[in-house]
Amino acid sequence: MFPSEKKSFYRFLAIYIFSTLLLVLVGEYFYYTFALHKIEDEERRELKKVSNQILWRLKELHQSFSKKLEYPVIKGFHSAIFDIDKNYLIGDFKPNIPLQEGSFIQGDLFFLVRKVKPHYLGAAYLVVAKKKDQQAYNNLLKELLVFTLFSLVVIVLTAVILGKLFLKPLKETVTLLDNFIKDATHELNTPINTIITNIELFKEFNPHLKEDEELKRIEIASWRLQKIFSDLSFLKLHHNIKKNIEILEADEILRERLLYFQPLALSKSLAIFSTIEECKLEMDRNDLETLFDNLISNAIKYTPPLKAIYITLTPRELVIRDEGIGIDKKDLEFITHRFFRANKDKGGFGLGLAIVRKICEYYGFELRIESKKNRGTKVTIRWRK
Amino acid sequence: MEKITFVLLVEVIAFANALHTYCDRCHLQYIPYQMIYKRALLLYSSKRRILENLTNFLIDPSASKTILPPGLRNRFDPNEHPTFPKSVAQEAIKELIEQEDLIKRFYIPKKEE
Ligand code: HEC
Repeated sequence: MFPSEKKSFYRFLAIYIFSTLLLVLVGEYFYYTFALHKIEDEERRELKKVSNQILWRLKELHQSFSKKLEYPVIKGFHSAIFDIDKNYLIGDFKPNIPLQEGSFIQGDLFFLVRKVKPHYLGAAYLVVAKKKDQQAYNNLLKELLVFTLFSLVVIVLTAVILGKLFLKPLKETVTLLDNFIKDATHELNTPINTIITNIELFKEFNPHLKEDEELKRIEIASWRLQKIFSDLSFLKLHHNIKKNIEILEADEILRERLLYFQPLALSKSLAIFSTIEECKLEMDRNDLETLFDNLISNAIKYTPPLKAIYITLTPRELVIRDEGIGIDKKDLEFITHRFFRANKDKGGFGLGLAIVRKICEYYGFELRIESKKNRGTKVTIRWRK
Repeated sequence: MEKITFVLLVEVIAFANALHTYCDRCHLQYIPYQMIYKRALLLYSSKRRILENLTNFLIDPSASKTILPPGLRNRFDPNEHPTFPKSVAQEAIKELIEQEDLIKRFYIPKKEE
């Protein structure tokens, strides 16, 4: 998978998993409240049963004539009776709760308060309580946890399968496009080289036509063609070739590339002032060379003869400043984004800066382009640290 | 003059043992206190309300204030019940409540855990 593809894949995964999980959690919330009600209903039912039992006993006791009255104690439960003025009468515990008909939970006890009428033994309120069925609550939570984990597994699996499924046609399209570019560049390679070689030969054999305007235009056009061709090759390579990330001596490589461009600069009588400090970068060698080549060739291309280009490389940044034609303020914004809209009428930077931007984005470098019309352009790349 | 002496006498004795003095002679025979107290409990629940209502009855007995079930009400006419001054009635009922208290007779069995 390409980095960009990976990113959108993970983004998709995250959104899918998050939203589905949210749905599951909402569902679980409703189930939880429902189940909680059920547990509480069960507890209430039990308490009600016990309270009926106690009431029955109270009635019997009320009618009893024996000297000693045994308070009905029921295992697992507590109960107490209060008179109509809410005075505690008797019970096997003495709860401190508001005497209001109904049920509620206080601490770890589940209470049921019932009004008693007629008031057997003077009881106006009967309070029955039992320990909350902690086991039932724990089981419910356990159930929910297991369900959540299970759905999480299912969701992630589905997400991965779906993601792969959706990405497949996309991948195929990209591969198709790549193959097309590969074929096209391959097919273009031979004719372009033929043209360029033959122009050289033609100039060799016809020295008197060397300065011919038409011939020069043909030559320039074919060089431009060659550049586009190499840019397209880069696009293809950028996608398919695995990057070989290593620690590079950027200063050495920059010197090499400057040497390579020296003849071109000389032919335009351009001065190149370079300040190169030792600089190590962790990246693919091809990418670094492409970066340097694009920036240097742009600077040479857009600087008129007899002017100068200043290049500074430090462990912090790379600055390439030229005294060229500059870029219009309104074009500056678009210049690096005109990937497939390379428009010769608008500055004519071709794919060069767009490729530079791609590389910078990939490695997290900060790219800054400042320019003044007819005064020059300054490109700064700050290596991320 | 006679009347005043009577009232004073009543006052004095009233605080000694009103229930025994004024009520036993009829009640031990016809209608036991326990029955009256249980009946009162059933209807009034709290001691405060029992005291209030039974005292009211004794001050001015009437069929409308009776707590007795219809069967007993027909045998003895509540309207005919002797009338007592408030202080006597109150003291007697207090003693009745104290004497017949059911809660006192309760015990809580040991819980088998
Ligand atoms: C003359 C006999 C007599 C005396 C004295 C007497 N009682 Fe009664 N009492 C009765 C009878 C008969 C009834 C049942 C019929 C009735 O309700 O009046 C009764 C009923 C009552 C009741 C139930 C009333 C109701 O119907 O709600 C109370 C309470 C009561 N007596 C308290 C007292 C007290 C306290 C005293 C003493 C201060 C007292 N009585 C003295 C005969 C007596």
